[in-house]
Parts: sequence; structure tokens; C-alpha cells
Amino acid sequence: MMNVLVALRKVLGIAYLTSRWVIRQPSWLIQSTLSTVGFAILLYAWGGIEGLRNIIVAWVIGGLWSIGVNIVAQEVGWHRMMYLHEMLIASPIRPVHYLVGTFIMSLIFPVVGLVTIAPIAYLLSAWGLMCWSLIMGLPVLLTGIMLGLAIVMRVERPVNISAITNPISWLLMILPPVYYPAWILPEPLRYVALAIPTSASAEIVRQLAGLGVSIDITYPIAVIAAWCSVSLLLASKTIKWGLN
Amino acid sequence: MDAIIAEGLGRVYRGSVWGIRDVSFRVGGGSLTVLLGPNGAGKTTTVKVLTTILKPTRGSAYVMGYDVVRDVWEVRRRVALCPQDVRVDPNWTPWEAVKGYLLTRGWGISDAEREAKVWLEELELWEVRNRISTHLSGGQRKRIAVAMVLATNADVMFLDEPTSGLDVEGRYKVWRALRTVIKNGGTILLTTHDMKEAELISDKVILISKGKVVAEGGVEALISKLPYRHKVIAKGVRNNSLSTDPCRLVNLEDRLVIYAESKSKALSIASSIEAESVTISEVGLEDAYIYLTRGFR
Repeated sequence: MMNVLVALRKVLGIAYLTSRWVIRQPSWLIQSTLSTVGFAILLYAWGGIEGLRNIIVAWVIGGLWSIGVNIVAQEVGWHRMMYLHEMLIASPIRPVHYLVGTFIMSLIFPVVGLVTIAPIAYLLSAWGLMCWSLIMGLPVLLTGIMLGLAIVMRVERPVNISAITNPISWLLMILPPVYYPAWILPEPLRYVALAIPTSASAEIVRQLAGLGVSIDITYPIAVIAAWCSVSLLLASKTIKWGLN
Repeated sequence: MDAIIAEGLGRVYRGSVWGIRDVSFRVGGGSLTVLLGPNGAGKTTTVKVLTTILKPTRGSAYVMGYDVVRDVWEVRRRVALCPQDVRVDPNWTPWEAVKGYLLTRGWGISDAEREAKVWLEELELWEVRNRISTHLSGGQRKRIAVAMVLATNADVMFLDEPTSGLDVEGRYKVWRALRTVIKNGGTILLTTHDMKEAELISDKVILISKGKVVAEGGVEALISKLPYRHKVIAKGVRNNSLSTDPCRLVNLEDRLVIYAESKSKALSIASSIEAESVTISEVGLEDAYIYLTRGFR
């Protein structure tokens, strides 16, 4: 019991320290909220109710992807840059406490996004869609965190880590069929577009929620499984907690 | 019991560059030991190996009896590190930094707050505890990092050049805090290339050069390793054709430092120099440092 309490304190300690910048600079949260609202209006204007349903899928999956590859990686990169990382290694904190603490802090961004889109889900009675998006967002989150960490731990000087993770995060969220359905693409291109974790997850959710079918569901499921396995393998080879 | 034991430590970096080659020393518990050496001597590498950040390429090391490679988590429970280039997050206040760091080490909130108060007061940061560090001076930010480490009450604390960049007042504040830790039974290994710092606060000095320990002992013991007892400092030298013995002479162009075995020899040297001013003084740690790190033993 005592061990659990101590572990919890370590996790919360990390979340406490890493959350300071969000508290001091809440404009990031305002930006996050405004872009959610903006995208909702955009998709509604061009796609009506169907567009609004798609923003739920896109925002949940895109948000969870962004946490992993972008926010967690940047936070870890920042700690490396400030040498806080070394202070933490030379201490009783375990990598799992560190990562969970950093992750908990990062949750503030999707929580804000979810709160913003919750009224849309309520108006459209789309709670099922939201739940499927959250469930299918988990492997995307895992993949994103592992890939983000693999990158940030490999970079010699993590000064410009956001210059690496931001484009990756944005590119794999905006270009492939996450904000739009894959069935609008010509069939051969769908296989390429859905070989990406974000779009594969979005496709699964769309099929499960009856928002259209563009490919056999086993393909995106296999894609997600492959991404999870590869990113876990990559991270396990790359992430080191001291003793370098 | 020795708090730290290093035996033949070596660490090679990428490109076959040795950070340290053969570092062996012991640090007794309840003491402040200074790892003294020039830039690139291997001080930081030694600290990183002892705090489990780097794996030694050869040799072994023990902290509080635990092997730094085999018993890594036992070591990490017992150490705290203030890295050389640590920067406190600009969004943290001193209070948040110290309290938060203690929480990450598993402390309860009330204990963390109590200890944070103690060390912020000790390092004269209490008045500014709620100011974010962007609004603090560089010296204050450095002292926050020191407070974060000292507040841990870790068995062995490693501070890598904790006073670099601090003004005189700031250095004295840190030194007083370090001696308070020792008075309370703590153990500190501190790196520096500041002779005055080593002379003033250390219980023991380990002199490291080119990745090897060249001498260790108390300040007086290190000074006694010098074959000279006095030095002549000549400014505005006009006849620069004195002793050619390189271990006796430090040539600073128009200024010379010449070492002498005795005061009478120093007086004799002084009388033979044509210079604007000539002074004679006893040798100190800085002289021993130059002599020993130049390999004149």
C-alpha cells in the first residue's frame, strides 16, 4: 500500500511540475478550444450533420495522436534540454512514473477538446461515436507516445524537437483521411492512405459507427496492430533511463 | 563506511574519446569532497557515472555500498544530482520547483513543503518563492537548483559546479548551505575549478586531470606535495631571463611567478629580478593544482 502511495506521489509530482507551463500560459488551451470550434463550423458549413459527426472522430483521434507524438515528446525533450532529465534519472523515480506523470499533464489538452465537442455529441446523440473514437484512439495514443519518445530520445540536441515532432504530428493528422472519409479517394490510394495509424483508426470508427465503408475492416485493424508493435519495439530499443 | 568508492573508472565516448581513463578514490561519509580539475579533466563524466547516468566502460563504483551498475535502483534511492548546466524551468517558482522535485522523489506534500521552506530560507530565496523564475536573476535560478537537491536529504549529493556564474554573495550563500548539510551528517561530492571554493569549503580534495586522479587529500596535504614553499610574483618584468626550469616558473609575459623552496631562496630570486613590483607569498592550493595537473610530480 505504501509503495502504491509513493508511486502515486512520484507520478503526481511529475504532473505537478510539468503542468506549470500550461497554468502560466493558458492561451494554449484557448487556441485548442478555438480550433475545435473553428473546425466544427468548417465541417458543418461544407458537410452539414455528416461533417459534424466526422469532426468528433477526427478530433478525438487526432487529439490523442498529437498528445503522444507532439506534447509528450516535446515535454521530454524540454526536460532533456533543461537537464531536469538528469536530475530525475539520479533519483528514485522510475521511467514509468515519469511517463505517466507527463502523460497525465498532457491529458489537459484532449480533455479541453472533448469538453468542447461534448455539446455537439449531445446535440447529435453521437455518444456511441465518441466512445468508439476514444477506444480506437488508445492504440493511436500508444503509437504516438512510443514514436515520439523514440524520436526525442534519439535526437542528440533536443533544442528543436518541436521542429521535428510538430510536422510529423500535423502531417499524419491533416493529410490522410482523418478529417475526411477514405471512401472519397480512388480505391488503390485508400490502401496507402489507410496505412497510417491515425487514418486507420478513423476508418475503423467510421465503419463501426455506420459512417461509410471504404475498405475491408481487417486492413486498418492489421495496420493499427502493426504500428503498435513496431512503435513499441522501436521505443524499447531507443528509450534509456540512464546508464547510457 | 565510505560513501563513494571509485575503482579504476573509465568511460569512453563515441569516437573513442576517453572522458575518464583511470579514476580511483574514496569519499568518506559526512564529508564534503571537492573534485577539482581543469576543464575537460573528467569531473562531470565521473559524476555522471557515479549517479548512474553514464555506464562505465571499465572499472567499478559503489555509492553507499551499492554497485552503480548492478544495484542501480538502490543507488538512485540514495543520491541526488545538481547537473552542471541545469536550468530551472522558466515557468516554475522556487516554491514549486523544490516542492515539486521532492514530490517526484516520493515525498508527501506536507514533508515536501516543510523541507522546501527550510532550504529556500537557507539559500535566501524565501522572499521570492512565488515569483516565476523568469523574473529572477541568473544567480537566484542557480540557487533554486541547489535548493532542489539539498532539500532531498539524499545520503549522497552530487553538485556539478553549483557556484559557476554566481557572484560572491551568491557563492557564499551556497557554501553556507553546503556546510549546513555536512553539519547535519550529509555527504557531498562537488566539482569545481575554483581554487578558493575548494580551499574554503572542502574536507578533502581530489585532483583530477586528463581523466585520471593525480592527487587527493586535505588542502594542506596537497600543498605539501609541492617541493616549494614560497613564490615570487613579479609584475612589469624587464629582465625575463630567469630560471628556465618549467616547473619552477609560470610565465605570464610581463608577469612571472617563480617558485622557491624556502623564503631565503625566494628573497634571493626577488632581488635578482628587475620589475615594477615584486612580492613574495606562501604557496597555496592553486600552486599545488598547477604543479600537479602539469604532471610535474
